[in-house]
Amino acid sequence: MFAEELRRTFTRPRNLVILGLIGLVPILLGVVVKTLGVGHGGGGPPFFGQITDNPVFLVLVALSTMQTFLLPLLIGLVAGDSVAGEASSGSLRYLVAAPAGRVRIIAIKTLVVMLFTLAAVLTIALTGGITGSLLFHVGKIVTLSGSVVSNARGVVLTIEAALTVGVSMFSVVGLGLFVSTLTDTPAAASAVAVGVAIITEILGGIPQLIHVQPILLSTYWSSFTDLMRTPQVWHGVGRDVLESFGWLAVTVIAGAVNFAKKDLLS
Amino acid sequence: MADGLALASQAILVQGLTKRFGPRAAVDDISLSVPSGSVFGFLGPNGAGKTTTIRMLVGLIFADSGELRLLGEPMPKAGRKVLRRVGSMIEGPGFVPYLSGEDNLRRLLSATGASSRDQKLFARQALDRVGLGPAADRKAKQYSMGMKQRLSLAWALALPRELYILAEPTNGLDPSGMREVREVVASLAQEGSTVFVSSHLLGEVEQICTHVSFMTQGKIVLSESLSELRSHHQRHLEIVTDDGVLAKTLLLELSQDLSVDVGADNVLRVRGLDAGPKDAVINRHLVEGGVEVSSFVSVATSLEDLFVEYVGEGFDVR
Repeated sequence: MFAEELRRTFTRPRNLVILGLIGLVPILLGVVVKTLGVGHGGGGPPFFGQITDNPVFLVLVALSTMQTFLLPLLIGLVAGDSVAGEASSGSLRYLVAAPAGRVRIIAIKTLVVMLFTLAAVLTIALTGGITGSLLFHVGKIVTLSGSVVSNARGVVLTIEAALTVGVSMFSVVGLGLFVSTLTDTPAAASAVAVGVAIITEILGGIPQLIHVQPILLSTYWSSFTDLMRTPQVWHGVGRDVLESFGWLAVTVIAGAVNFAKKDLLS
Repeated sequence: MADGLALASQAILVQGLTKRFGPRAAVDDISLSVPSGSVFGFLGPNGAGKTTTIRMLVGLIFADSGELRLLGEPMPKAGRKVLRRVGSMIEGPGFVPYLSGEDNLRRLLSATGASSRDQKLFARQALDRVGLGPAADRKAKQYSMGMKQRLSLAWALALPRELYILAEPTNGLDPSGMREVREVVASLAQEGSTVFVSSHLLGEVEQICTHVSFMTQGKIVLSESLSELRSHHQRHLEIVTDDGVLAKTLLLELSQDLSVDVGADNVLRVRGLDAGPKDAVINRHLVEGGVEVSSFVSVATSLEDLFVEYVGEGFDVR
């Protein structure tokens, strides 16, 4: 069933459109910078000034611009749809009566959306890398600490950064899945998941809430930039991963418990 | 094997099953026993609680109280185990719209643990059996209502099972589709499986079932084998005459056992025939009494008559 679900998710037209959209962002960024230049004054997201130096930086800029909105939106959409979408088409009742096992359904769907998330961030790394090397030159990679690393190391760093961002989205995956077990309306589930993710970003910006911040979804999202130091600083990334998996565990367990006891009336 | 058969002599056993939605009991303390090998018609008006009952049978809804056994196994506790032996079609189609008919079946088959090769084989066989073979590769969203209904039936039939639970299998089907469903049900019964079929098409059920149960307002008001039911619900006569009132007087004079209703257009319904005189005697008596009999028909009690008798004719849906 896992293989079937995985295949279905990665061949579903809507999901392919999502991956396409995600992959398009680094290309757009590259074309804009190529056409209009980086500009002066040092504004923009981290690494924006170095974007023409090496494809690595294009990927990093794409990751940090998408992490705050586009990724949570699209991942929340897919996760929120995972159970509620089947409830609304009526296929859920056939799956449960098949019998597929209620907890097993949640476990498999969680795993598949997690893999989809990782595929999404790796798509950014791939199209960003290709676009960067076609539009700009493959030059020096200067880290935040000022040292220079090799291109091979740069590829590894890009993948590390992408996967870190991917893992940081797992909290959104869990949240979407949980809400998805609460409703038969996929749009509502997606909207709530995305809404909560964005609300935590807003709360994260309020200084008075400093004590709540460690458990907010988005607090450590930008920590992947620490990977670009020499030596790499893993403190924030570690927190990010821990926090994301923590949310994932709590929300998926809540979702599984809710789904295991739920009357399926759809 | 003999032990297994004895244990499973009741394919479905329900005792004191209750399910409330808020203050309303959708299913109110029902008991039901479906013998193995029977074709069991589960009848009732809309809103009677049939669907809720069926959803509890296949583990989609949890009962508030009562006991439920499928093939001798407790539900929903043994659901993962026992539902593999149950083919079900639950109240209309529900498929992934962007997958083909075949992929939808394969997906469900994979959920039951069938190997990739078996998935293809069983899916193809089932689609052919319901006449969807040529449309196997079309997306489910392109299917017509009737085709979707056939796809649900194909899923119920995709694996050989001991019990089939079919909710409204003929909904949305054309007359030839309905006939095919009847044939499928007959062939399943012939193979020794139990078929539990809910419907509101009484004529359908009458043609294929060995047992029937009427449910209304959350209660089961009748549950019997069709032959038993027929034996204590006798036939009646429908007599068309030119003078209903005179005919009635003559008949009551002939025998105290008869009961006579005079309907519109001088149609007489005569009951109490088992204890009363023979049909031929009744006819002669009327003619000799000066009543012109234009039609004289013996009518078996239809399921529909019984249904109305037990369930009433109301259209109120709770």
